[in-house]
Amino acid sequence: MIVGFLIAFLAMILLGVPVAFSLAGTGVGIMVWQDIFNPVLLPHNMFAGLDSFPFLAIPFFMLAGALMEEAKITKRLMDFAYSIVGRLPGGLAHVAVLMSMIFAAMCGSAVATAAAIGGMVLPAMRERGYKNSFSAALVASGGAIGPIIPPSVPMIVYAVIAGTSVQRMFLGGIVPGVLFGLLLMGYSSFYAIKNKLPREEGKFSWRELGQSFKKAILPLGMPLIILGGIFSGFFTATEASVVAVVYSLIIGLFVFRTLKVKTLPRALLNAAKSTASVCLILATSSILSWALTSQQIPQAIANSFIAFSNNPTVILLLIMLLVLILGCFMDAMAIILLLSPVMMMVLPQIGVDPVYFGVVLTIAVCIGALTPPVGTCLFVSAKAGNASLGATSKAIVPMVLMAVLVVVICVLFPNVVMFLPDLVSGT
Amino acid sequence: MQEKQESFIVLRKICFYIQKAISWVMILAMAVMTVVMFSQIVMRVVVGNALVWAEELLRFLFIWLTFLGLPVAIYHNDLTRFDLLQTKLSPIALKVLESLISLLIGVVLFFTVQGSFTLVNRQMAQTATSLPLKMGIVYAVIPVGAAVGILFLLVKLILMWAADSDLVEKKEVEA
Repeated sequence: MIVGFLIAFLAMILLGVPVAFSLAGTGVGIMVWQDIFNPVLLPHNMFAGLDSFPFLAIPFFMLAGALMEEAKITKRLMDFAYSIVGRLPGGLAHVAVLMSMIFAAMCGSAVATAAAIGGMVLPAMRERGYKNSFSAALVASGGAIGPIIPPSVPMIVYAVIAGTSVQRMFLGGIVPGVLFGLLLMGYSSFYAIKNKLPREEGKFSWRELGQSFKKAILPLGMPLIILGGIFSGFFTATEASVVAVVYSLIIGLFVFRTLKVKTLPRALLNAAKSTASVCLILATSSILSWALTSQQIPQAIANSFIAFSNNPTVILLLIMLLVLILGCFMDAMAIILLLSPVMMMVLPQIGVDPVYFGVVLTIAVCIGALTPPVGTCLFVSAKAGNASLGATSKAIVPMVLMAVLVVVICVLFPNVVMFLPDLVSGT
Repeated sequence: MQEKQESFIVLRKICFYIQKAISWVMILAMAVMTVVMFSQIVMRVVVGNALVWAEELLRFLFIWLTFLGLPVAIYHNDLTRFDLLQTKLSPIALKVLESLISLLIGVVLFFTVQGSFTLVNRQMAQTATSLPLKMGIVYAVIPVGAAVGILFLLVKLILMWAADSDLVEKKEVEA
């Protein structure tokens, strides 16, 4: 039965049924099949699925992102990134990756990161003779760093389901996120030398760096406040999200004056809409979760994992492989929502820290945003970069392999993830 | 064709204004959430104790935001989905597929509304922990959002089959 419903679910996704309703539809299907259907279960579970205070960070991080975009701060970040890495071979590619890493520290969503960076960097890269498909693939991969480096919407969702600390998860994402960024930069240099791309004029100068830093210092203060506040324990992640909103309001309205009171409703509405589309998936997935749990299906899947092997490394590698395959067809949030309840039963039995698992899972689902046929980041940046989906899918293969390498490194050397959380808050 | 476009003008206008009104409620909710949440932090840091009712109010507004966002997302074709197949179908096959998808969404929303009657009635007996508010009123946003969603789905189906058009301009799809 479970296989039948999984196939039905994937079929709905591929036919273009909205993710939220593929989840709800499958849930209702299982309930009707098992003769336990009652319409009250729908609103009841949707409400319960959302009724959790830490989720409040989602609308606020969305709003902070919308305001930062409205305040046109990306140009300042680009000049800053350019003054640091612009003169390396493949300069603009390095700029794109570095900008993604900085933006990732203000924004918790992969698509938002890819969209913000792509709009700025892709035209410049095209002008300098980079292939559209390479540029689009690089921007998409940079987008995947968005939720790995904190803040991170998928991590918040996982932390609520798993009952773990958002702070520790955020800390765990930093090293893998930076590692992925550095690997992408290494590949960019290799690509630029191999394809004999022209180098940017001028030389690295401290003076230029100083000047562009001065212009970017206020936007750069944002990650500092968010992350510093969270990690020093001064704010919770939820509180930090609203501080980020107020901070971007202040610099946008009073310092740069690029935000106008008149356009605020638009930013508020955009944030509200993005929140609703993510949170509808949260809401309807709890219908499916309820249906699965009532049939003790997570328990059965968990048992078969444990029966397969009791070596944590083997099980983790197996699960990550499963996530990568699912990621080709499914939305990141849907994978986290469906897999986490199962893993909450498996993890204690194989002695794996849920924080550590959550970070690795987040990286693996982010790769799903890059892999065809269904890859949200891939779609967004291919469209923004005027590249065909086919060519971009080919160009992204080496970058996806690097992301997979990061996952493997994290599984084989758990300290890569856990070093920072353990350092800050102890084991 | 022009005549048909005109004939649905009333229907289009009704949907447009409903969508507009809901959007403004969402904007307001988002603004209130920001102010309350920030005041909450200021109170904690400056005065030393947080506002008791704030957390509950924030949770409720967040839930309202999500369910009010549902019809708005349907109106603008903004629900997260993958429409690779849609770009490869003939116009008539596309219409059939989209109608079936709308039917599935409609059925889920219908059950949601139906179930909400029982739930809202039951919750009218409950009062929120810190706010002088019947829980039924908080829950009522679910059937409201779902019902308006059904309305928009129906209007979209009528427009698609009778006039080959939509409530919003078709988005440009590039290869």
